[in-house]
Amino acid sequence: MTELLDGSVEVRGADPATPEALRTEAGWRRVERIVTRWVVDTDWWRRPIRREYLRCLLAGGECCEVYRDLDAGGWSWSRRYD
Amino acid sequence: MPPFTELAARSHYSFLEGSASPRTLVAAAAALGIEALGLCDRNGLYGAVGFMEAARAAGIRAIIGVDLDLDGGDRLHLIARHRGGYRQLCRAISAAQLAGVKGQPRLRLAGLDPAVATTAGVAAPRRRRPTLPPPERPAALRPTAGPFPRGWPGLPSTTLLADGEPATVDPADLDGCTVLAGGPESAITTALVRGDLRDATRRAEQLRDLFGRDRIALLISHHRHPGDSWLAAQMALLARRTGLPLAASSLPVHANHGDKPLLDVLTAIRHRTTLDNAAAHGLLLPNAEHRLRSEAELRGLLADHPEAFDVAAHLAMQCDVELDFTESRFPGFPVPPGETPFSVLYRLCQESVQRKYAPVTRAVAARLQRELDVIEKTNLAEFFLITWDIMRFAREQHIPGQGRGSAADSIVAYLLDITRVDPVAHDLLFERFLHEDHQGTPDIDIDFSTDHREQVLQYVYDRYGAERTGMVANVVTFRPRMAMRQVGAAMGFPEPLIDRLAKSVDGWYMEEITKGELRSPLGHPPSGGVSSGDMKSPALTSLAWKQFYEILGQIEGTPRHLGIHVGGMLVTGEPLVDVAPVERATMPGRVVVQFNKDDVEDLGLIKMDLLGLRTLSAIAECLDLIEQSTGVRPDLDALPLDDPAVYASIQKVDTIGLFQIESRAQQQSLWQSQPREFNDLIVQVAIIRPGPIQGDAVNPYLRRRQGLEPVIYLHPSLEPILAETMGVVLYQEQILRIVMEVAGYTAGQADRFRRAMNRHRSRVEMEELRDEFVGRCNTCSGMPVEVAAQIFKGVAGFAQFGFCKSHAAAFARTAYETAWLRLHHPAPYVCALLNAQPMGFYHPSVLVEDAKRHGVRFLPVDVTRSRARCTLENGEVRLGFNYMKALGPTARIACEEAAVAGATSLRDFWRHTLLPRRAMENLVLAGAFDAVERGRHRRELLWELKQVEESLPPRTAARREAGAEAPEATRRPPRGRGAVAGSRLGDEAHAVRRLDTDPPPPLLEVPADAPPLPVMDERTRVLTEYALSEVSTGRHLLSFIREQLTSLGCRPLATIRDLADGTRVRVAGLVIARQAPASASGFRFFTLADEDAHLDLIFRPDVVARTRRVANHNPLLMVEGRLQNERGRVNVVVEAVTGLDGDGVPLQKDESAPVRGAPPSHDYR
Repeated sequence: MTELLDGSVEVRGADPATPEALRTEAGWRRVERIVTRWVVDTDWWRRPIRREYLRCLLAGGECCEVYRDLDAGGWSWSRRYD
Repeated sequence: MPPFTELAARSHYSFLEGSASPRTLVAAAAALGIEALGLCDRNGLYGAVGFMEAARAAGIRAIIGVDLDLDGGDRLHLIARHRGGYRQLCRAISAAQLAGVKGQPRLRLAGLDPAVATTAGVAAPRRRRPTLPPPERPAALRPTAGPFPRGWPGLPSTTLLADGEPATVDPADLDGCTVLAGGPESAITTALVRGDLRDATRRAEQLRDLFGRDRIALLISHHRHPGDSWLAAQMALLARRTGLPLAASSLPVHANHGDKPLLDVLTAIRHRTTLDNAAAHGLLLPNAEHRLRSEAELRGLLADHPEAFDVAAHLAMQCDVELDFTESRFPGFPVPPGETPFSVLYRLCQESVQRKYAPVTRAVAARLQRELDVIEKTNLAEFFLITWDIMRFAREQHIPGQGRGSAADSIVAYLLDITRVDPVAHDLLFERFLHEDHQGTPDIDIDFSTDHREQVLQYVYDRYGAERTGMVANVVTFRPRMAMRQVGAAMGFPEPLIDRLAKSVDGWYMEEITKGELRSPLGHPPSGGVSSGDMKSPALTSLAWKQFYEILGQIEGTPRHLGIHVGGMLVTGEPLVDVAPVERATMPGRVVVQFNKDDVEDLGLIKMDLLGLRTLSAIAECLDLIEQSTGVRPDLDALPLDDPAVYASIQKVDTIGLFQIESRAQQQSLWQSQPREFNDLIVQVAIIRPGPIQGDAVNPYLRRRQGLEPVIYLHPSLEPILAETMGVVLYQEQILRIVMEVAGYTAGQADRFRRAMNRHRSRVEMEELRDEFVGRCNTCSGMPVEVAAQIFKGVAGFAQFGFCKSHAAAFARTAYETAWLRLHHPAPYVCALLNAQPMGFYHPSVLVEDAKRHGVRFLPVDVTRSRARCTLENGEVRLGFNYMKALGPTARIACEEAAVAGATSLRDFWRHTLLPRRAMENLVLAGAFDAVERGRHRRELLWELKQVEESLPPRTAARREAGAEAPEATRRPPRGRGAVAGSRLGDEAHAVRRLDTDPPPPLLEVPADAPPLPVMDERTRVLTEYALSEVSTGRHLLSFIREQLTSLGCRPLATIRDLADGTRVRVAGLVIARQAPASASGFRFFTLADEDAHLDLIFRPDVVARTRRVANHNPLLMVEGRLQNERGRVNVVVEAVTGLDGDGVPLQKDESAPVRGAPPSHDYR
């Protein structure tokens, strides 16, 4: 099961495209591993969506997905895996 | 370092499944450092020739391949390693295409179980197109159905794919190809995605065993989708398990990141739905990563599989295909023992030159020798003999035919009776047609009578065999209007808006359509107006409008679907399927090759354009009619081209019904040019073309012709070339002479200009020649650069649509012949014209009214006298059953047979013909029974018809209405001479039940007296005749309301000519033509007609905007404006327009009303 999330998320890291830590409700959590990443570029004719999604394994074993808006540049939550 | 390779790119020749042209792909590949590029389009090699040419120019190794559908839902990429592999590809594609239906090829690989491609051990279900029920959507987001064919919502239909067996190809017959397995939607990838590694392994092993380990690789790719890294790892695992190599590929379907919107729109169009709907159904690619990538980028995505790059490069280096068919291009023309094709050609020419040029002059002999030398050097004697043989057949069968186009530049073509214009007398440039450096074969276009063209095609098939003969493809591409309709529909624009937009553009190229025309309707309604209701769609935001325009700019030239070239026949020396893939044509037994005419020319193959020309049908029938009525058949080949009476009629602009010189624009210029001899007619045919118009040549020529301005030349070196056309460029031959004589090109070098002028992409190709041309003019002729640039501008503008002089000369001859026939034999001529419809500029009613003014009398349809076609009856034209609505071809034949049999009454006629009720009513109302039912008026006959119909047994009546339950007894119309002319009048009731053996059952006759019915007055009869035949054998429609028009102050059109220039006039008439030429800068031109004359109207752009609704929708107009009278040639510059109803009563502002019986105008854009 997954829980869909929304809202922005703070990230830290030297590479702006690859977060090393995410700020969760419980504070900063280190990104242990990026499991996979993919790009969505669609809906250009109505409300353009250009995002890079990352599925992250956080320290402590939690798995979540976040995305970076490729136009605006900010990071947002997408979902959390139970 | 091995060369970086992309093995399997897809271009827009995958028909809506790829967005980049081969040329664009090559350019993008070059920019990305790709050194070898493979083109693998869906089920075809449509783009192969252009791709190879572009790749060669860019220094990229070209690989020819295909992405082939296999039965069972599998797909396989194949690339050709050598010419033999290419041949095998062609054969495999052809087999698949011919086994399936259009767009749905069917192929099976021998030894590969299709069931393996789906689920292990479970037979594949019969394949259907995917069926996806559209989700509930807000009404506002629902797309419009307008521009799409029926079947909305249009998402993939449930139509079953072609029945029957797929073609089977033995993998051994593909041993010249390399297999790239594991591409998108392949069975291997599908199995991996569903986690069935075992099935994927079995499938891969099966392919490995069938093709051999060294002829197959697994494609590995990455498009930055969520599972792509995993899939790549799975593919690598599969490679290890099967021992197959991995080959890296981006599998691009578009060239650059920015092409994604176009690809999405094409996808929506392919599925006949909107972008919203396509996205909702997951039909669009989720990102823009299916594009060409640089080596670094792809290596970054496939970092764990570096060996796949070496394999791809290795496979690319194995591929070396050259498409050179020059050794086997001729199908073999039989010549007598001891002779060669050239010796036969030489003999034929020598025999003919003595006949046609007695005595043979030095100039003629020299010209002939020069052409024969070139033909011998280019080894084209066989080509000429093939064409000569076709013309010989046509002559023997009395099929009218004549060469057109640049072939008329050749004295050899003239001597072989391929063309009918003397190139020496008219100073035609042979190099426009052929020169000794010519690659490929020259163009020979031949017009045949439309009614007989099929006979000629069949002869070619019989002569050279169906396996070596096929039709050339015509790739139908998006043009502005079609693009607007389909892109607008894909973007969810409201249908009324799309319709208005499409109707408001006149350009051929998108860049010709000004942004002003396409400005956002939110702020600037496009011309024609957009109501507020049109703009309520949420799809119509300013962003959408901007995107719409951008997509329109990109989509132009993108292939939409494959068609057949109107007349291009390809005849090959080796079997067709070894040269190019073939597909089914619409006609049973016919095939179309996947190459277009430019491809065929580039490959040096033998192609002939065998075209249908209705004018030739009309001329042939006219000659028949003259011979029947006078006993003498005019010999048009011997017709002198200097009859003063013919030129006098042309100078009076009495040209309605004449070939090429009847249109409004032609008439306008005829008035100024006043042709006096045949060369003037050649100019006339050539001048009213987009080329001279865009090259700003028309007005200078006409003014110089009238002595209103001096003849000047941009540079003295142009004078010998342009003197015949008073200093302006009117012919393509002149461009070539400028290129050769002024810029110093050889004939071979100038060929690039010839090709650029011949091709759809001429603007692009021509622009590439600019700098070199300007430089060479400067070097060779000392011409200032600015002058050379100015000349080039004129040349480039002209080149797109300019005529060659030879073509104009061929058409001018036909124009002269039609003028001669019309002048000296008006009744046979108009009779033949009526039977050849639809053709020409005017509606048949205009031809009839014009002929009446020239003394021809017309007789109405009569069930005792009429025939299926119009006929001559004591010098008068009897309308045939082809001018009666609700009578199709078969019904017309039935009517003719009844007439010949001598039907004596309405009942008798009906018993013979068993026509549908509506057809009988039409005949009654049109007075066709007046002769057999003398003393009884039409309404009474109609009553009788009703009585008879009501008295019939119900079953019989039902059959009569259906009219087509016995197809085996339904007669087919004859072909060739005597065939029924196609009619624009409708064919809805053509199916007639015929009983050929037994007489039809007698109708149950129930006597019933008609109640007192009013007799039709003359006006009603004429209106009825117009309504049913669209022509009137009696009075003109307007003659009945002349009094009313006079009371409104409208002058008869015939009296306008006597008024002074500038006079303010009010006139009224039926609109017979509306024109909005793209080159007219927003001006529109109408032609009005009344009972005695025609009048041309000019609408300025502001008047167009103000009067569009009234002018476009009313057949009968009252117009006020200023008279332009230039030496008797009159126009009215319109200031105000009012619609009139059928009684001549003015309508309210913006109101429109149909006028009963008014024939439709012919509207042109």
